[in-house]
Amino acid sequence: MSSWVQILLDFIWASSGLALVAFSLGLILGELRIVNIAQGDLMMVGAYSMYAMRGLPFLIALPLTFVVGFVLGLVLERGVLRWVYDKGFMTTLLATWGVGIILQQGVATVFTVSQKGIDPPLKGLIEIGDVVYPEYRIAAAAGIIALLTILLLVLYRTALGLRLRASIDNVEMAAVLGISPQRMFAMVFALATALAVLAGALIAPTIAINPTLGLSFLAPAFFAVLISKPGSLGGPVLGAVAVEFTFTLLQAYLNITVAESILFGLLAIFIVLKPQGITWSWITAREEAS
Amino acid sequence: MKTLRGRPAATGIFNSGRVLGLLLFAAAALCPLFLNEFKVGLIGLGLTYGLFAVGLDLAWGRTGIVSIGQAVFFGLGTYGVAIALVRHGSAPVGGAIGVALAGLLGAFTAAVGLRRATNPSTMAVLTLAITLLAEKIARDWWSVTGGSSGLYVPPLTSTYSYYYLCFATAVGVVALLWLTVLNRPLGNRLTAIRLNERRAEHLGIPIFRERIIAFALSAIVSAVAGAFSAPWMSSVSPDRVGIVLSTQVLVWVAVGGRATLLGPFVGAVVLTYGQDALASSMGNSYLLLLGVLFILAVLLVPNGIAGLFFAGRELADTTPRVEAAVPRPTAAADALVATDIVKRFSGNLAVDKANLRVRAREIVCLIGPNGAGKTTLLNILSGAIECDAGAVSLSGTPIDTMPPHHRVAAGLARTFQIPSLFPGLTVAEHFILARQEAGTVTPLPEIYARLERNHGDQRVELLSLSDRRSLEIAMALCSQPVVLLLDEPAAGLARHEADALATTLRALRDQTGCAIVCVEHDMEIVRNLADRVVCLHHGKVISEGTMAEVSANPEVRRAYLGLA
Repeated sequence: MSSWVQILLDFIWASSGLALVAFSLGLILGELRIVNIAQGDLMMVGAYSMYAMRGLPFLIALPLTFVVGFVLGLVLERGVLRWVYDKGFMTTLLATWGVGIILQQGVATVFTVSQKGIDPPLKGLIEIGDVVYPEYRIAAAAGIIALLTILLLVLYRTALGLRLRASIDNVEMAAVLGISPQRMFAMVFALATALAVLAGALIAPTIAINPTLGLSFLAPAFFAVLISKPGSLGGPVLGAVAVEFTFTLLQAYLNITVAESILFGLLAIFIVLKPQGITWSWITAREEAS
Repeated sequence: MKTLRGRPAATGIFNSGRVLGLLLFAAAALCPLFLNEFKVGLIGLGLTYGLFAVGLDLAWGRTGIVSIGQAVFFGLGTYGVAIALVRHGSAPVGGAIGVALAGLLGAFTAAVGLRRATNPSTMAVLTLAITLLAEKIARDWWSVTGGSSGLYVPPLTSTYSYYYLCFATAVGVVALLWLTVLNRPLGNRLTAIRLNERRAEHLGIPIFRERIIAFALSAIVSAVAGAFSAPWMSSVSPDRVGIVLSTQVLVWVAVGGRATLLGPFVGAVVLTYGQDALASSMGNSYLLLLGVLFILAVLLVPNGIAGLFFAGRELADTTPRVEAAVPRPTAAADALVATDIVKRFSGNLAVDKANLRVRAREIVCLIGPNGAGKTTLLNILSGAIECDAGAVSLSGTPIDTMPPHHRVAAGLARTFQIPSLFPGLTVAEHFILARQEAGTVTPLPEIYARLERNHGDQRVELLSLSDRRSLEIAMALCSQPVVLLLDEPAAGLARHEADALATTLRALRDQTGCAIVCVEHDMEIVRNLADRVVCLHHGKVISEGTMAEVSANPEVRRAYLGLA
């Protein structure tokens, strides 16, 4: 019983973080049609930003980090990505790959490669039955879930969200209706960057911070995006939950590397069966209703 | 095989690729005479890295398959040799096992990630995931791989003789690749797939199979390089299969030059040597510099260092020596029969139980208002999309379950509404590809033969729209089709060109004996061209017959004019 509570709490914590990254990845893939391999490294930037601001109160450092992410996103979009939009899928992918290398090595140059760590703002433990769980993880998971709920509500229930979804659906048509693709691209990329950076910042107190930390989040986040229909915004969130659920189950019984290998095998089978990903039908229904 | 004549003027700054290639070859062959053992070892390692990069280039540069986890294949070769050496087994056997595993893994990855309906991002995610996973496995499975600290490889007895072994291997593998793939029809097919997947498929190239072959070969070459690199390292550790090495090889290829033989070697040797020279003084900023270099190379010099020196010959001349004398015989009275075709796009019924019967040597024009399902029907006939229900047969043979390239072989050829050609290739190169796939040289009607004579060395981007359309039709004719499918061949043409088109197409039919199915909006052309007209509306055939019959049909008038 107690081990199941523990597994459930771990699952909620891990899937909420992954969902935020997968959401930001899906946003970029949907709007800009770019596979952003630097997404994991953006998380890493978030963690280091929190480390750099470790002197400040957590709740002040967090919004500042979000701003850092937003500005970084604008700089990357204006400075690198907009030059490659018309050069095809491969070039955009390689350009983000290069951005990732630069971020990693840039951080390594400034902070050195030695591991860093920061203290969580909440150090308490919560007792649920006979399981003792860190307060911080529960609070952070609740925060992420609230944030994702708000983001999805904005996307599916407001005029701004409608404009964004129109642009994702058909960028030329949206442009004809007065939704500027340039501005939309820049805003979406900046927002998605800020979200990935925020995810990294929230995870930072629970992990060892090093320049390559983003890589371990990249594959599962891509799995989450890959199993949902391209262009879907809620899909990657559910995808993340599905991936993390499978992984948590496998991990409960198996060594972590074996669990990851099986997860990869399952993904390969999934791609063969459903090359276009799953349409999460209740989301489609809501999209059509709104 | 003779080299291709008539390429446009060299695009490189210096067209001195051959001289440069020979100089570098001589430098690599002679460098042990001038350098100390340590530096020879460094260049030896650089050469094996260069071969590794050649492997990646086969997938990325030639075929256009993204692989961001290429180190997995390299590492399988390296670990194969290292495990054999540690256990006092035979290094060649260990290496061979590693290479075989790499080939299988490559074929498996490609078979999963490069299927028809998969998104282009799938392959990127799969290869990335594999390299991350492999690094973890290498770290965890310490009984075999020695875990994080890796396997200790006994030092070489003679650096110089091993250097020459690596040199000979690199030259040998590249020569073998050149003779069996790159300078052969397969190499041309890979280039065609990279430049325009859809056109390649509708020329009759089995794109799925060729891509699997290309990726498996790329994995094998990388693994061979990995196997030979093991003795150059004092220990083989998990980073040999990992993400950093996968990244570096991308940089080598990007900087050295894609789709060239020399580029990957230049990139690998220069950057390996540079890393050793600069890393001690610059530390991490060297890798930072590498990242910046990579982005700049991708953005500004897409052809890399080698691209500055080579004019870049894209295709081998593989024109068959067989001349086709007679048109393909068509015994059946019905060239193409489509029965009860149904196609839905998420609930929207695009084609609704449409029937189409085309007799041998007949010209049928498909007309109908916008959205009637004409192009969808054409796509179903050519195999570009699958129908939900219905049957299609060509000269009596059912073809509805065939992929597009088999339909081409069966005698079905098509053109697209927007001419679909291979960007960057010349007119002559388009004919090489078309004839290579046809297996014969078919005499072309004069108007198309003239296009080849007069514009042979012109890149297709510089052709006028009507010439581009003609080229597409000419390529289709090379396969001696039983039925030629044309999607709005007159769209965007000037009036006089459009008027000439009907005459040209009728002459083409008389000369080659192929039936034509033509989607067309221009009623003047339809009147002059069609033996029979079929009108579609809301995915259904609402009328067929002569132009006069169809245009007199009240239902057709309603469909076009919306009259009650």
